[in-house]
Amino acid sequence: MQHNTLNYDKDIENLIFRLVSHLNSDYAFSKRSVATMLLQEDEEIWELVKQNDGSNYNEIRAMINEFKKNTSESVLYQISRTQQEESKKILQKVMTVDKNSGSKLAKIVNKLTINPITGIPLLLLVLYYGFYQFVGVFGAGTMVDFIETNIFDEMINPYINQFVNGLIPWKVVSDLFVNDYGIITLGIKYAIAIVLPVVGCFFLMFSIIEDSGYLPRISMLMDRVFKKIGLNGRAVIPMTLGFGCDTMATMVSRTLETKRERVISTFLLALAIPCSAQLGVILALLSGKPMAMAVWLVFMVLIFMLIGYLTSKVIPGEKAGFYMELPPLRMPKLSNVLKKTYVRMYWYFKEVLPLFILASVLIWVGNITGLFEVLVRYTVPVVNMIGLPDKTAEIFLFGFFRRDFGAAGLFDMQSSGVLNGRQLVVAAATLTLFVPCVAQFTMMIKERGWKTALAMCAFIFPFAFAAGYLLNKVLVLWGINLG
Amino acid sequence: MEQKSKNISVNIPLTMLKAGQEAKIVTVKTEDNQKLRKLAAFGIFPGTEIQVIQCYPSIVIQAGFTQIALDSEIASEIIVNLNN
Amino acid sequence: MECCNQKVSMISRIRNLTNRKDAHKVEQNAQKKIALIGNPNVGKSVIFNSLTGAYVTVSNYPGTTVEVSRGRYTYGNSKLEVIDTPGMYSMIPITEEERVTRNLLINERPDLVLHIIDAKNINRMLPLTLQLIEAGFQVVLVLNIMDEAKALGIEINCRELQKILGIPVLEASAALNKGLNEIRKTIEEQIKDAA
Ligand SMILES: Nc1nc2c(ncn2[C@@H]2O[C@H](COP(=O)(O)OP(=O)(O)O)[C@@H](O)[C@H]2O)c(=O)[nH]1
Ligand SMILES: [Mg+2]
Repeated sequence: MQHNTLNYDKDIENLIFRLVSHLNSDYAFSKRSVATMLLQEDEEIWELVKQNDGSNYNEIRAMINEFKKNTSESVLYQISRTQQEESKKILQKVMTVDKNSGSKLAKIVNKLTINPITGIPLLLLVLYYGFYQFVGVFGAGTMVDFIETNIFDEMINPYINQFVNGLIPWKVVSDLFVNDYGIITLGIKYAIAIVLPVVGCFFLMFSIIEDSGYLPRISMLMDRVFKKIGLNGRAVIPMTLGFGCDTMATMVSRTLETKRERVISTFLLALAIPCSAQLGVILALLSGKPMAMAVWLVFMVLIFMLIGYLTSKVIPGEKAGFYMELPPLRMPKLSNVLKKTYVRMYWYFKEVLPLFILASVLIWVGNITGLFEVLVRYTVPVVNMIGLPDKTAEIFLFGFFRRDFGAAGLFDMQSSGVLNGRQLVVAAATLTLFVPCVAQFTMMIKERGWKTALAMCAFIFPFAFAAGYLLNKVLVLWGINLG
Repeated sequence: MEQKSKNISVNIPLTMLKAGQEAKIVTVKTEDNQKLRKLAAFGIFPGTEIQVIQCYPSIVIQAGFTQIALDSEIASEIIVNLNN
Repeated sequence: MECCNQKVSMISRIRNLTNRKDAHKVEQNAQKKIALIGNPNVGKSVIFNSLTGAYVTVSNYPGTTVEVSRGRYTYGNSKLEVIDTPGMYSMIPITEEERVTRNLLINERPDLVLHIIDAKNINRMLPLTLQLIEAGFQVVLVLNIMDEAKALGIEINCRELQKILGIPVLEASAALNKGLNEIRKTIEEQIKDAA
């Protein structure tokens, strides 16, 4: 009943006929279609044929090479032309278009978003209100404060501490669950009080923007900037998603076209893109000090561009051109947005909450075995070198378990007034650059392989501290104390 | 379609068009088969009529009911025919 | 259809040869598979969600579905496996997502391919339908996002198209819940014919 409508030029049809007679195995596709793919130099299909019809492989190769020698026009071209023309012919019979339809307003709005003169201010507005105001100020500020102070510190933690300490007389054991580093009072508190509101707000905003069809327009506007760091506009998605969750973004970097881009983006995500949990804490940490915030921001952007630029020079491989469809702008659908936010959060907590708990357990084990103390002792000189007090060593170790975990530790230190503005900025910057969290590292291995993932970490570790060192030196030299 | 205006038609790269101009794609000048396939998937193919929507920071063209953004490198390989 | 039946029986013969011990079991358990194929951003995931009741991310950004999702579609007492794919532009893959999608076609040999297209861009998406038919798949063509196509003044004569291609052609606006029942009905009819 199905009609194959594709008839190629006579010479090609003859060749296909001969090729088909050399294909004896059973492929998922009709042999005719396998033959056309061979003609189009599809490497995977060639590989498949090599495996299944190995004995005829050379003969098939020879037939095709011979054919190509005798035709001037690319075979690929001829084949796809036939496919296009056939499709056109069919459509002439079945489709009509009334040219006068179409909304004028939609056209104007579209132009406003893509024209750089209006598009870039619009983009800045979206970033400012959508991310800074909504995620940063509302999510990481108001909501975190409320949940952390009013709910955990005042209502839940004292009660739970009392309850568990009463229930378990051995402090060593009860420390696992409660008190300073317990699973409930630290692990779960951070997850719910800090991460949940920030990540939730981020994913909500991201889903709205995504659903409207605005993201491809950002890609288009940013393409030139991204080209400077060896990527192209397409990388806007993994990169912006990274501000939500670097692990998820590393997974999504799979959609980039060349291996080179995938490696560069994975690397930059691991190095210079703070995830929303981390960002939330850092924003909260520095929010009272606009100068400190500015220094941190400028420093991170510089590192991102510089390292991106250098990486793009070092990593071999082909540059991918930028081409992208701009889908029509649509009104975001509330149900879709909510569902998507929910699904992303669900994924996030499934991946992340266990790690929070694991981190708490590891810290507990580290503490009772004394291992942690030893490690802290080794880390102290390093943090001192970048101008930070001894106590920050602990935080960097936390940061090894989870990025935001470390940042959250900083938050506690700042509240108790141990750090001055300069130290805060240096610590925040170093921690942002510092290792990816365990989940992200696992994803890096999964997506890019052991070697690449390890090599990236081997760079990031010393680099984070070297950059921190430099930043500290510069700030000291210029006598900038940042309050 | 008909090519009656042959004598005054010129083949130029897409990058030379200004916003608002209309043209017909003549060929895509590249040895890279991947790229050809890629562009064909977006409907960029000899014979397609396009209109340039804007030129900077990326070139945006309208082909049928699709808007496509391209960087100037790819656009410079797309040869179009200005029919008037 | 004869040619298709022949092809499939060939396949099962080979499977039986290689798999003689389990042949019987395979036959019994063989759940029929439907793959949702098409360009990115045409509504595959919306349709997948509606068919299976599962949820995969729907996105207005090409390339957001990076993994294959599977779900179950039940009707009467039959069960089908529905597979949502990251999408492909043509039979020959360029990006990783497209490679994933094509490997799925090669390795899983779906019994039915639902080719979903964006109706307003039919002129550049129809070539893939032709290629899928050429490749011997049993294809159903879904003209989705019909709402936007209509708003642009596009009319498509489904009957005529159906006649030319010899496959079922359906109109739908999946995001507005339109045309989904017809898709279900057609799947149920077609899957019976699939060997
Ligand atoms: N207007 C309209 N939008 C649709 C329709 N179907 C899907 N969409 C939207 O198209 C976008 C892409 O949908 P999705 O299912 O993710 O596409 P996929 O990439 O093919 O899986 C989403 O924003 C959907 O809401 C439709 O019938 N009409
Ligand atoms: Mg999808």
